[in-house]
Amino acid sequence: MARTSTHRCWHGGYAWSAALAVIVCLVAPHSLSAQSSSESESEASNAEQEETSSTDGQDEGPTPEMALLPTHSIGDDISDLVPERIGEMLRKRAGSDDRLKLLSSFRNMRQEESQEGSVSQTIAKAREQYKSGIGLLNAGKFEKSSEKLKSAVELIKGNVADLREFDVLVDALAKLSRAYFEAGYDFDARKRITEYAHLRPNAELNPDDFPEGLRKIYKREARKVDQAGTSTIAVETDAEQATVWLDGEEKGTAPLKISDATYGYHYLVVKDPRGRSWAKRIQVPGRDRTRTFQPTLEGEGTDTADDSRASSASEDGGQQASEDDDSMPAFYTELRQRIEDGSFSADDVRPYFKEFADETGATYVAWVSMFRNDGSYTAAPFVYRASDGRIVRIERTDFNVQLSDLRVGVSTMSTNLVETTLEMPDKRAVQSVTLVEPEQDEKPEAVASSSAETSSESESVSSAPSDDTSTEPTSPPASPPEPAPKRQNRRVWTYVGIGGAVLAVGGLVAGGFALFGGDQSPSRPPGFTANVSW
Amino acid sequence: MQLWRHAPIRIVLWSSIVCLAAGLGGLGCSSDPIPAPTFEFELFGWTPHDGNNPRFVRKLRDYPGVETVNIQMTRPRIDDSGRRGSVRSQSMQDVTADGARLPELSFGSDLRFGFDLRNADDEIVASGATPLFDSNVQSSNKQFRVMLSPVREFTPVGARFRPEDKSSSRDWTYQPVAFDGPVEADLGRIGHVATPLGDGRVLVTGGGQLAGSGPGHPSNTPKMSRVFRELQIFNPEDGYVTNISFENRQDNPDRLLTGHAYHDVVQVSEQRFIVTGGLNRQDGETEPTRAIEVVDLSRDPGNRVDVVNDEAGQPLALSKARFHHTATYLESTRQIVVVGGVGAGGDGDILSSVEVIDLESREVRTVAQLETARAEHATVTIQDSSEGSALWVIGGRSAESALSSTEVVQLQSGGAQINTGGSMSQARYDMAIERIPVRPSSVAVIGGFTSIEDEGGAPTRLSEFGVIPERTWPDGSALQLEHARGGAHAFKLTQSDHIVVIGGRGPGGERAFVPEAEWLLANFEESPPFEVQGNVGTMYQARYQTTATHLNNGMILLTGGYGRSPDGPQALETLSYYNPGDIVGQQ
Repeated sequence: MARTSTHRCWHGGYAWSAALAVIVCLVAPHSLSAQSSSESESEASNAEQEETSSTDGQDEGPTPEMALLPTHSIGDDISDLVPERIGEMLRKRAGSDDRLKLLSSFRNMRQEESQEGSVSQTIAKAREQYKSGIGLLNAGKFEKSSEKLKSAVELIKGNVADLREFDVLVDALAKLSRAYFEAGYDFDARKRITEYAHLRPNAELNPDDFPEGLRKIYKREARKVDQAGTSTIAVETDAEQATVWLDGEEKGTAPLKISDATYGYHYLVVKDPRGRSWAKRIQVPGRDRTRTFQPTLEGEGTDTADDSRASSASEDGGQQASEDDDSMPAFYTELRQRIEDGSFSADDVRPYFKEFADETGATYVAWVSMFRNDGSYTAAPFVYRASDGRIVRIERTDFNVQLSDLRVGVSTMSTNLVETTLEMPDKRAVQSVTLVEPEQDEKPEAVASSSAETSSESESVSSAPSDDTSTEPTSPPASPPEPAPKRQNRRVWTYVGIGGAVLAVGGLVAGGFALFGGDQSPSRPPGFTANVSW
Repeated sequence: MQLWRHAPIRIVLWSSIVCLAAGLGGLGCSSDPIPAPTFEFELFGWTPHDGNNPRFVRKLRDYPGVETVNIQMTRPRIDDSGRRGSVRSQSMQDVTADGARLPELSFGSDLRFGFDLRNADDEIVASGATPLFDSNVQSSNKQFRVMLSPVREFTPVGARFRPEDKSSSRDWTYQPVAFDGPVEADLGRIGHVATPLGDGRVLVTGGGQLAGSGPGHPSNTPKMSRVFRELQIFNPEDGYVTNISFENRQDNPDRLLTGHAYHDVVQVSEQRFIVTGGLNRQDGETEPTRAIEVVDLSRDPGNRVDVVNDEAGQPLALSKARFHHTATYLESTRQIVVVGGVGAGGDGDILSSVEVIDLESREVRTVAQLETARAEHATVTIQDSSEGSALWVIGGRSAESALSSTEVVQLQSGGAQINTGGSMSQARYDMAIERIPVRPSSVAVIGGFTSIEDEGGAPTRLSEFGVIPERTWPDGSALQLEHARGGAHAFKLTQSDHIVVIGGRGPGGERAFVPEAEWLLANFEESPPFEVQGNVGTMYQARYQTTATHLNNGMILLTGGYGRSPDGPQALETLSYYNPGDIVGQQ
C-alpha cells in the first residue's frame, strides 16, 4: 500500500500522542506534589498509622482476655460430671498460663456486680468505661482509651463514696496517665501519674506497661511524697458508728485521728450504718501538720442488715457451677443452646458472641463441646475472637472413659487452646460446625467445615467430564475475518493515540489547576526547627 | 480510520500540547518553598558546690553527675490573671549526645525553651531557660545562649568571651559578666535601678560609688564619691551587658543628663522609661535632684535620652528634689505619682508632698500632702482606671521613727484626697513587698528596718499580710522569716505562687550580710497563707542594696550592690543569678 501524506501524518500523530501521554504521566504528578507534598506525607503516615493500628490487635497481641464458657456435652451418653470436671480443670490450667488472662465465669461476674448492693448506676457505668478504656489501651488506640478512662475517672471521683474497690480508681489513674503519655498529652499524663503517686507512692511500675519517661515522673513525685513526711487527719462527726476510709482503706470509727497520712491528694470517705455518707478529696500537707474534718453525712441510708442484695460469696461446684438459672440474660441462654446443640453456623452465633464479649469485656471466648466417641470421650474446643468475629477450631483431645488420662489430656487441651488462640490460623477457621453422633455402626465423625475445605469438597464433587466419545468436536462458530495486519496496527495506534490524548488533557488540566488555579504562594513550613547543642 | 482528519481530535491534541507547554513553563516559574526558621540554642553550665570549686563548663558531658538533658518547649504562665503554663514539646537526650534537633515545632507566641540536667536518679541537677520569644513563619533565625545552674542556688552570670590574646574564633571561654564601661572606670555601683524590658532584657540606670567604707546606717544619706549617668542593658539571650552610653558615640552618647542614684524609674510604654529624682553629685556635694528624664530605647542611638518639655519649652522637673521616694505610673491617666522621700535639707528632711507628673498636659503638680511625711515606704496601686485611681502608701520612716501607719492617696480630677488606712502591727521601712493572688487581693510586706536609732536599723523577721480593698491587716496573718532582714527583695514565682525572699541587711553593722534566700511556700487555704522555708540557697558573693529583677527566663538577676569581694566589701560590679527552678509542669 502506498504511503500517503495522511498516513504519514497519522503515524506521526500516533507517536506524538503516545509521547505526550508518557510526558504528562511523568510531569503532572510533580506539579501536584509541589503543592501537596506535606499532605501526601501526612496521608502516608496516617495510612501507616491506620495500618499499624489495624494490625495491632491481631498480630502483636496484647494479652488475650478470654472468657471460658462452661464445658458441655452433646447428646445424653455422657454424664454431666465429665464435662464439668474437665471444664474445671481446664479453667484452672488455662488460668495459670501467663499468655492469656482468663476472666471469671459469667455467673461470677454477674454475682460480683450484684454483690455490690447499693453500687450506683454511675459506678457501673464507670466500670464499663474503665474496662473499655483498658481494652483500647491494649489495642494501642491511646486517644480513644484516654477518653474512656478519663470518663471513668471522673465518674468515680464524683461517686467515690459508692466505690467498693478503690483500686479501680487507682488503676484507672495509672492507665489514664499511660494513655495520655502515649497519645502525646504530656501535661495531662504528668498530672495523672502525680495523682497516682500520691495514692500509691510505693508502687513498682512495670517497664513493659509504662514508658521510661512516665516512670521517671512517678519516681520524682513519689520521692516528694516521701520527703514531705506525714500529717495527722482528724475526723470528727456527730454520726454514730461512722466508719472512716482513707483511699479505700478502712481506718476505724469516728472520731479518730489518722496519724500516717502521706503528702498529696487523697480520698476521705465517712459512712454510717444507715448508709449515709460523706466523701471528699483532701489535700494532705505533710510536715507533721494536722488537718481536721467535721463531715456532715448525707443521704437516706437503709439498714444494711436488711439489704436483700447482700451477697453470699459461696458457689456450688466451683466456677463450673450451673448457669442455667433464669437470672441469666436471654442472649447468653440462646448462645449456650446453640453451641450445645452440636451444630451451628458461625453467622448465626456471632451476634450472641458479640453481645457476650461486649458484656464481659472479653476479647476471646472459648468453649469445649464433648461427645462420646466409641470407647473414649472427645473434647472439641473452639475459640471466638471478638475483634473480627472469627471462630477457629482447636485440635481435639481424647480421654479414655476411665479418665485415667484426665490430667495429661487437660494439660494438652489447655496448651492447644492457648496456642491456637494466639495464632488464630486461617486453616482452622470455621463457617459452620456439625458435631454429629455416630449412627449404628458408623464411627462418629466430627466434621467442621471451613471455607477451604468446602471449596476442596466442592472441587471433589464437581461433575466428571462426559465419556461420550462419539461426540465430535463441533466446529467453532464462524468469526469475522481477521483484519489485515497493517489495518490492525493502525487501529492499535489509534486507540493509543486517543487514550494518550485523553490522558494528556486530563493530566494537564489537573496540573494546570494545581499550578495556576490554586494558591500561588510558596509552601509554608509547618513549624520551626530547634538545634540544641551542649 | 482517518481520525486525524476529524477536527475534534485535532483540537484535543493541539490543546494538550499548548497546556503542556504552559504547564511546564509554570513549573519552571514556581516559587521555592519558604525554609523553616531555625533557632539555635547553645547550652553551658555552672557546676554546683559539691566539694570542688564551682566553675563554668562548656561541655555538659563534663557537668558532674549529669546523665540526661531534658528539653521542653513551653508556654509559661505569665501572670496571675492569665493562662496556666503548658508544655508544648519535650525531648530527653543522653548528655553524651552533645546535642539534639527538634524539627517542626509549632509556631506560637510567648514561648520559652527550658532545659534541665538530670542525674541517674532522675533528679534535676541544674536548669535554665531562654527568655520568652515569639516564632512564626516570618521569623528569622535566632541564637540563644542558655546558662544552666543548680536549682535554688546563686551563681555568677556567665557569657562567652574571646580572650584578647587569642586569634581563633574557637578560643573562647565562659566568664562571669560584669558592668560594661571604659577600661579605666570602676564599674561597681550601688543605688542604681534595674528595670525589666518586655523583651527579657534589663535596663540599668545610674547608681554610684560610695565615699568611705560603706553605706552607713540604713536611714542615713549615703555619701557618694561618684554618681553615674550611664545606661546599661543586660541581654539574657547572650549574657552580655552593653553600656549604651559608650557605644562608640563619644560625641553624642546616650547618657542621662544628670547623675541619678537612689532614684526611681517607671515604664510608661514598651520602650519608654521615666527617671525621677535621686541623688546626684555636684560641686563636691551629694544632694538630691529634681530632674525628670526620658529614656526611649525605640529611638536611634544617640537620641535615646531626652527630657519632657512643658508648654513653655522648659524641661519638666519635680517641685521638690528628692530620693528614697516612690514613683507609680497610672496608665489610665498617663500620670506618674511621686510620693514622699528625703528632700534636699538632709537626713531629717522627710517629705510629705505628693506630686503628679502629667505626661498628657506636660506639667508637674503637687496634689496633696500626706498626713505623715515618710521615706523608704512602699506604694501599692489599689485602682487605676478612668473612674479614679488610688494608691496605698505603706509604712516607711519619718524623721523620728519607723512608721506602721498607712495612707491612701485617692486621685481625682485635678487633685488628690488622703485617707487613713489600717496600721501594720510592726513599724518598718525599706521592706520587701509583693502582691499575692488571693481573694480579696492582698499584699505581703516582708522584713524591713524598724529603728532609726539602732546601729543596724534593727531589721525584723516579721512579715504581715494586708487586704488591699479594705486597707487592713487582719490579726493572726503574720509569720516570721528565718532571718531578720531589711532592704530585701521579694518575688512571686510565676509557675507557682511561692515567694522568694532574697538579700537585705541583717542586724549589726555594715557587714551584716544575709546571703541566704528564703521561700514563703503558698498555702492559701491556711492563715497565714504562707509557710517559711529557710536557707534555700546561699549567695556565693553576699551583697545588699543590690538590684533584684525577675526575668522572664525564670531567673532572678542581681546586679551590683554593696558586697563581699576579695578586696573587701565594696560596691560590686558583678552580676549574679538566683535560679528558683520555677519550671513549667513541675508544680
